[in-house]
Amino acid sequence: MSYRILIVDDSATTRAMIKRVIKMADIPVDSLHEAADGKAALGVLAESTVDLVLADLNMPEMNGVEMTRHIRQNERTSAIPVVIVSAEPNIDRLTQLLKDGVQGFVRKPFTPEAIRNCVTRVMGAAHA
Amino acid sequence: MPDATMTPGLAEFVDSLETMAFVTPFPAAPDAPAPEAARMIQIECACPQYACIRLVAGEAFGAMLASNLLAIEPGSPESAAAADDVLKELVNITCGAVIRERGLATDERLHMSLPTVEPLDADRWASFAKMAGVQVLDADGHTIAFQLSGLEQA
Repeated sequence: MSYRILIVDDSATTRAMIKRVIKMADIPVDSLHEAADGKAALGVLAESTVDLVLADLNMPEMNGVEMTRHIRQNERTSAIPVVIVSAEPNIDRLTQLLKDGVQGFVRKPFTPEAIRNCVTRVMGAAHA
Repeated sequence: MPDATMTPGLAEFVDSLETMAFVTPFPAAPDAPAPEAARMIQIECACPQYACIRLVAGEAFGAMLASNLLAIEPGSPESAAAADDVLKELVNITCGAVIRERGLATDERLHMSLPTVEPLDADRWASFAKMAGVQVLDADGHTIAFQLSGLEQA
């Protein structure tokens, strides 16, 4: 099983870092997609099949909270696991996101292990 | 970094920089050169007290961080192109850490802006470096300056 992963972050450097970590962590990857904000991410999801979304919260155009809500409301994308990778400090907001169906949270600055462990856990649960 | 040199938010900034890019800054010498191609990166938050984080750094510092993070050649066009992006991410991460460390992360009114970047000429650098609460640092040979304003009551 190899995964089609969508990375959503307005920082191109962070997207590149996450891609690098995923490749270094031996996570089996079929394809890696990128988007710079939530709106662009929904565009990618409309055109591509994705197994996992790794997304920032604080982004222009459409933030990660709104994006997650749209993903959950769309029948075609509602089952896709979403992991938040963010510097977001608001515990209540993060707790609410987990209640709303976000599968994991990795705090920035992240270590490669944190990304690897979270992706492995979430994708393991998704295919259990 | 000795406690005596700590200005507000500096511990969180140093920790973010070390964790993110493996760079440890120290207080700069009084005659440290101004950063070349300086830019001010700023982020504001309300939690609900207003706070603002400002980082001034040269393009070369951002490029060095990018080369560390992405394992690309220092001085390459790719690292220079990523310089501002990396600096914005650094202040974004620092802002999150400052809010968490002060126990303000549960306020539903919390709002963080997106980071902004603007060029800073030599005169503005000289003024900024002398402002209250500004810590001028040497980060692997690059002069940078950090300030957290607001949150005095937190």
